[in-house]
Amino acid sequence: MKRQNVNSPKPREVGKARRRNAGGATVGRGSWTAGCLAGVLGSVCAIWLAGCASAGGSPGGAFEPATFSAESGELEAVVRGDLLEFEPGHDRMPKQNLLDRIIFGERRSAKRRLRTPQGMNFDGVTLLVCDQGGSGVAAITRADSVVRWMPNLGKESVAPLDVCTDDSGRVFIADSVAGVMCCPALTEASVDRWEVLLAPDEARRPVSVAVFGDVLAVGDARAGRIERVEVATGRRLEAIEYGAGGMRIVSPTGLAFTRDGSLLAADAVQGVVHRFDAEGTPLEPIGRPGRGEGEFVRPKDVCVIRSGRVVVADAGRQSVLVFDSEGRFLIEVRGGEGWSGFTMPGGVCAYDIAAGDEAEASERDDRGGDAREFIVVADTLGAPSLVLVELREVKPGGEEH
Amino acid sequence: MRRRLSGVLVIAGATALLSGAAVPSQEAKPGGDAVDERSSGAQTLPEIRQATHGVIGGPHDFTSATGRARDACAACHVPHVLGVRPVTVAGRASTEADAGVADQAEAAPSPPDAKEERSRVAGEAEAAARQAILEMYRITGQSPAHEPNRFTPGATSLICLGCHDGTVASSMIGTAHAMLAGVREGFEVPDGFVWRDHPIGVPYPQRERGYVPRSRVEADGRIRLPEGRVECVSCHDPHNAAGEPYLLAMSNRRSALCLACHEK
Repeated sequence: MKRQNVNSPKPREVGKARRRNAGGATVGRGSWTAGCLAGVLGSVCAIWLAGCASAGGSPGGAFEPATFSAESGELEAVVRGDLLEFEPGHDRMPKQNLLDRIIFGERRSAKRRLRTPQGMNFDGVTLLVCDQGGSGVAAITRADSVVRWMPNLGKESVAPLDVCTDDSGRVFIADSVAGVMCCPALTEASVDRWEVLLAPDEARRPVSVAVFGDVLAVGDARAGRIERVEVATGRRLEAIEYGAGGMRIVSPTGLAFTRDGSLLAADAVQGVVHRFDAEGTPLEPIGRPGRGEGEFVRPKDVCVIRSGRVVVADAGRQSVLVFDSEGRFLIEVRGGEGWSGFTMPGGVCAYDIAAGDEAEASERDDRGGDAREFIVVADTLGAPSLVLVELREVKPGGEEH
Repeated sequence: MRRRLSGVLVIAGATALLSGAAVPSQEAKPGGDAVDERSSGAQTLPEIRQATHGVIGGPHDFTSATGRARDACAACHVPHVLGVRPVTVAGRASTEADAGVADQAEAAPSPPDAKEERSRVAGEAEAAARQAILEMYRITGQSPAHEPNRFTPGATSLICLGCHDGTVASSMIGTAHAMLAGVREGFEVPDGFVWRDHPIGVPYPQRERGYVPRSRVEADGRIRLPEGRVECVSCHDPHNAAGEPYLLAMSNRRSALCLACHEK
């Protein structure tokens, strides 16, 4: 099957981007035009502008960053806005079905939005996003931010929930219905060669995947355990069923490996992030159930960023929580003054722009090293669907690094 | 009141479980796995369900999955909010903190507007109590995504979808049930569109022909329209009080559930 090409990049047209109004709803070009006309007339415009200001929007459509500070004052999280805000060339989408037209409207017909994004992976070049509502995996390249859909998944992947890639470029997808699938690489030549790595009867409801070296970890929410597979040989390693203190793994909806091979597993039912060393021995978990600082209600996904910090997306708290590498709570990003917040954050991944480029990594180090890191949060039911958040260290005097 | 009573029944059931009452012996996997209709104790599973409002042994019972008895309720509810006192007839405070405020207001010397002030404090306390009671029945802090003139999932549905997104439990997002993609925030529906599936997050059209008035729909408490909207809990009861398949709020025999709202 051929790659389903999306249009070539075009300069962004002013006013086409969807904007948030006072209540956080997205409004289209028509509303924008109407708002401007009303502004010429007078009083209505004033109300509209006030609304924009209160919600972090602006007349130009730009998102006003919302900043959150850690109690220690050494770390800030800045919600930058919609990752796809600058998606160009979205008005020539070749195919649009009735439901798309209904959802996105005729005027925005070409801008294919993600419907229900969940698990993600970023390899430094391409952001892969599992979209269950679209029954596929979106591939968004950093260079042009155009959303492409991974081909040949429509028939095989029914409900993709999580995706990861290894160092050699292999792509693994956890599909809660079809099992765990693997593709040799995300290239034109090999993208059609999907194979089922774990059939549904081997992993009853795979909901998360993470890979470290040759070991693939798969979270099975039906069986309540984490399967481990040697990808090269297909050999099954001993599954992990219990966390520290004999706590059962119930719903490992998000998995991530640290640099040293430790495994983190967000358990949406137990309300903790389990930790295991490279051998699978349980370590002290991160967080506990509750609504206090550093506690979880429904932790759905976890990722480890370059600095070693752990970021957890909690759908129940409607927020993202950041911990240091030891599991100490640092900061929570959630709606409040100036920003309406997440509706249901279901996925999170590091967005390390230098991850796939040594030159960029070098330049980054020259310009301040690890002071700034980025994550992408998939808001499964909210808008925008992909939210870019910056984490930056702050010097004791309050100055950014 | 009915909800509060329901909550008490559920808590009572969980307490009975904690104190050693009969528990289901099978692995009652959350998320729709088959449930063995036997129990290890003297009571049968249907009897336990009856006594515990249908939660214990049902698909929303996480006790056997987590190994903790409190997860009969705590998987969805936040128990620490139970420190709330009910509002009295006189509108006294509902929480310890609010009680302090109210007591101070009553103990203070009575200026000319003391009655008005007391009334205001009592009103605030009652509002706080109502909010707190509401919090008992949902994951606290869940903010609704309602937008004017748009169909979006309400706070109660967000709780359901927090698990029923294909991860913890079967998906109501990617399937043809409920709203395929319509649950997305900002979903717009043109006039005259015929739904293939039943929507959630939509205002109940009580003034339109063909629909039963809202007061009649909600009269017996089985069908709920939170904030006047059709949500997951309008057709389904997560506590499984009726013991119907698919956790339906009431039997759909001869389309009774459908006809509770739709006049045909």
